[in-house]
Amino acid sequence: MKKAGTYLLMTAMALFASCERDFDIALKNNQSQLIVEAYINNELPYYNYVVLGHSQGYFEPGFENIPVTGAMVTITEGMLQANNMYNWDQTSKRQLKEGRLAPFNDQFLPGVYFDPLLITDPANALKGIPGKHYLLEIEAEGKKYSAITTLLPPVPIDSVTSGFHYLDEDEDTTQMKARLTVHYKDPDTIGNTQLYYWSTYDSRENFGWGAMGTNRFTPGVDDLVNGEYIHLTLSNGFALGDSVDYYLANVERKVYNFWDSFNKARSNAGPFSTPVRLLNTINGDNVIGCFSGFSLSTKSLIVQ
Amino acid sequence: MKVEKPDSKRTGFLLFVFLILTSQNIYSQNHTLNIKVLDSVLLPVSNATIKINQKERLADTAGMITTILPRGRCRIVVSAVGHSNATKLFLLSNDTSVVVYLRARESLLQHVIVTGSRNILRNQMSVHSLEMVQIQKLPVVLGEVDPMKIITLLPGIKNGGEASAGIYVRGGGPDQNLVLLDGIPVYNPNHLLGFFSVFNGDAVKNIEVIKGGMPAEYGGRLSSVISVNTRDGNKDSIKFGGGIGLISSRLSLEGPLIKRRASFIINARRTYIDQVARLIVPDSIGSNGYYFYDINAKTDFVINNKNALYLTFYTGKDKFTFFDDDANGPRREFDAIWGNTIVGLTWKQQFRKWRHELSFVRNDFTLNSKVAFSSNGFIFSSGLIDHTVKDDWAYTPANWIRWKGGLQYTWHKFRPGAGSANAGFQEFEAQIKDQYAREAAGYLSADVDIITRLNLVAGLRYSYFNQVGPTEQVIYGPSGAPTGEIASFKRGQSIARYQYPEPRINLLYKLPQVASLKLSYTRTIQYLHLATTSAATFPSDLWVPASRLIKPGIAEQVAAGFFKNFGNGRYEASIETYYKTMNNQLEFKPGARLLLNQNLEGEMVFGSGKAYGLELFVQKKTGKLNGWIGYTLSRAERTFTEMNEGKPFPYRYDRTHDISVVANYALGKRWEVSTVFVYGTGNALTMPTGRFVYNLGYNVRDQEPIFSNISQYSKINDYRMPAYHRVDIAFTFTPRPRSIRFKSNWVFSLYNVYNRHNPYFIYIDADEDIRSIKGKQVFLFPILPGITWNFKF
Repeated sequence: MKKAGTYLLMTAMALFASCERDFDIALKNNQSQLIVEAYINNELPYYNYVVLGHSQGYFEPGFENIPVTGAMVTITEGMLQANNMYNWDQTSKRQLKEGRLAPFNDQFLPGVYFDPLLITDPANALKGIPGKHYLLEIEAEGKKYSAITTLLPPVPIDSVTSGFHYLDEDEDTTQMKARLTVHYKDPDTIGNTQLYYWSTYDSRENFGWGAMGTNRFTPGVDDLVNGEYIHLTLSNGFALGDSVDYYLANVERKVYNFWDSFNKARSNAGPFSTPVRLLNTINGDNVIGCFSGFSLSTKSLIVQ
Repeated sequence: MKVEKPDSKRTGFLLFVFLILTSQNIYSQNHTLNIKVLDSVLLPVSNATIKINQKERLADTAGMITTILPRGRCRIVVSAVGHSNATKLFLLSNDTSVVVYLRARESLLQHVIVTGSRNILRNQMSVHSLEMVQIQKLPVVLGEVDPMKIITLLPGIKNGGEASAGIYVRGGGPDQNLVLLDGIPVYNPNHLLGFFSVFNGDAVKNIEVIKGGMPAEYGGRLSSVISVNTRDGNKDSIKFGGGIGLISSRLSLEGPLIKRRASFIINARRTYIDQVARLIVPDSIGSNGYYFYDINAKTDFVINNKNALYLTFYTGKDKFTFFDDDANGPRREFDAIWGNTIVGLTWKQQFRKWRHELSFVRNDFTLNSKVAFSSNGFIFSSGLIDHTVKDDWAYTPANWIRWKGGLQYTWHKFRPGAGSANAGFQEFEAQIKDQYAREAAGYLSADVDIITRLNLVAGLRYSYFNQVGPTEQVIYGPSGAPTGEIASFKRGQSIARYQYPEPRINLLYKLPQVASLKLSYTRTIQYLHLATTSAATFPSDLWVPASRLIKPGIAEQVAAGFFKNFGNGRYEASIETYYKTMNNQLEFKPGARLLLNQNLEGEMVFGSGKAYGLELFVQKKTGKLNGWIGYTLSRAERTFTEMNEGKPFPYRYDRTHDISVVANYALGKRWEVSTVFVYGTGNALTMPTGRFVYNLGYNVRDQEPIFSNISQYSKINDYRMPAYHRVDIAFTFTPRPRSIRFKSNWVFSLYNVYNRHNPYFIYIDADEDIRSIKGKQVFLFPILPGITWNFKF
């Protein structure tokens, strides 16, 4: 709808011979913030990591992450007690460190913290358990930060099917593609929120949640479809014969809200735009980010 | 000048209730004189100035006035913009109704002499009236005459920028204007994202804007009343007219249904914007399509001297079709059709000292849209339906006091949204429950000449709003997650109820030498809010009712002004100052989801606002050169606990300086030139102060990071766009008529004469691939010619 609205505007603007030109925008000075991107999930131990970075002035050069190195990062498992207080199991506390990992091609990635057991004893590396709560603690540049997330029970995927074929024509190639439909039953309790990710044969060598496929326009709340049997077809196309790993992540509302704000913030320009601020689930001064607990269920398929 | 001493009866205004009871007897030897002013084709002449035995009075928009006079000789002189003066002499020996006919002038070139001093005499401050005959001469973009755009050339009334939908009056929001078409509220007064209004210039007779001192008969909006009145049909003969422009054509047909007693008029307009755009930029437009049409119709039937019926009808639709062929998938189609349909029936009555109007109105705004790709379909619809009954009375028991009273009741039905899909995509049927509300108001106001020089219009409006069932509401927790509880309400069961008194006071003190001082205080309440997040009007914008969480908006405004005419009435000047506070103001969280959102209230934040300013207005009304200069110095700000760390921030449309100059000049018998200059401080914007990367991943094979750049923000609306200014010019050529019946004119216009690149929006383009960050400005209208041919026969 929003896209169509933009095109409606474009129609009007085209009519009026609108023009665009470079323009010197003098922005106010920026106060640098700590940026936290942290994950815990129940299926992919390599995908349990924390990225720390800094924000920068808008017109400063450089686009990559400005890493915050040498920080003390820990994740502790715990339970929520009847009195609504958390009981953190100190024996479960894992310190995450920067280092070299095989999926990273053994490169050193500054500012990316993961469980060192992934190198020495992958079978016992940090892995989330549905129903448990997790405490993230960070000590960086003399300041302390913390966040809590919960791994909800996974929502089982019944099946993922392919269909709605179409011919995808771009400048160089013409390829038959299909869309995927995920079939699952939304839990009877209202208020469930889900995120959808996938990796394909081509992208399987990539690493990190940012390298996963996802659809940022698909809402994952059940406010209007609570308890219904869902057949959700995403608009993304998949090449026939491709093998796909499909992940359905059941997440807390605050995690969903964060990623919802992220999706809005990253596609935000033009007269329809509003200055979307990324939400924050991290406690501490001058910090923004999210500790995301992803309770995953997975299906793999060959696109037919 | 001699000042009349306060009459003991008049100064007894403080006991006016007593006086009302006695006033009939006090003036029982006098007679009622009803005057109606019509033009040569029996159409009412609005806002005429009537001099009765040397005392000036003002007729209303229907060209009517009621006065009480002692028995004896009576001399009335009537004048009005665009008409020759008329004089009538007669002996008043009993209650009398008089019709005065004014001859319409063909062109403003002949320069009407308006002897009246309407702005001095009328106890209504902060008001501007424009006749369509004035508006039609002004230069407009692509020759499309639009009264809603022209009023933004008046002080205190601003648009949001080029082609912006909203009208912002004294710091208020765009949903705070009561836009009326023949007295009927119009909820979506825009076509094409606000590039054009729904008002066809051919159908409009005049437009009046009240931006302060709102009379008690108006309510339901905080900031202003924008009243658009349409023309009555010709009662003598069939007339056909129209116009051909660059992007639209218009046709009108009018004539008598019963000669000299009943008439009809139909105006229709249809655009061909997409066809024109396709010629200019075929690649960008492709097979997408857009057009709008609207039809205005009106019939009036004068039953007898005392009774008349009026039927107003409007329907307009925007139709948009969009095909998406991007690489993300196959052909996707989006269809939307939206618009208003309005029907109003009014019965007007006139007795000796009473006037009465009873109106029934149905107002329907509907949006239907469909998204389809391959075999899938997704339908979204929303809307609002109103049924209103209005009963207004005016009573003139004596010359020094005039009463108005009335009752209004509206039944609102809100359709916040419904969606369904037939296969794939998201297979579900979802409906956000309809909502219902009752809105009612009663008012009483007295227009009292306390002494000859001092007039008071004091009114009290009492409004009531009740959101009722049947509906179901999902209960949400503070995090925005549903609690699992659903509140069900039976038909008619009260959900939220509000009621407020709304006092309205206007004070006028006439000074010597054609000048006056005016003072006003108003309190206004608004029970409906427009849910929109963008500056452009999008058809998915929703009107939502006050509820348990959404409190009604409350505004209070005080205004004071000095009004002066000089040059024997050729010049009008005024200076006004105002201070306005607004409570329970509503904003949406950035990126709020409005469509199919059961928890719309969870996307809202609530705060307050204030606005203050100074407005100067000088108008030269007659002569070869006429026009006006308006200047506004103002400040508008908002305060929201959850925004800007709770500190006040400038309203997006806060405009420190706003200047408009409008001039018409007669070049000869056949040619006229009009020019407009506008200047305004740039809009306030929230711009990013920094950026960071998020959602990291790695392409291991290419050893490239994958990420998104996210903007970091600091203060709200802390950045100013460049100032807006431009000059437009239009030449009107009126050829010698080919016959007595056939008349036409050509309007050649040039918009943005010096090709100023006024920013429509600005943004920062950060391209990670080429490692470039640049500020970009998009501007809409370069220098644009326009040509329109208007004809009538």
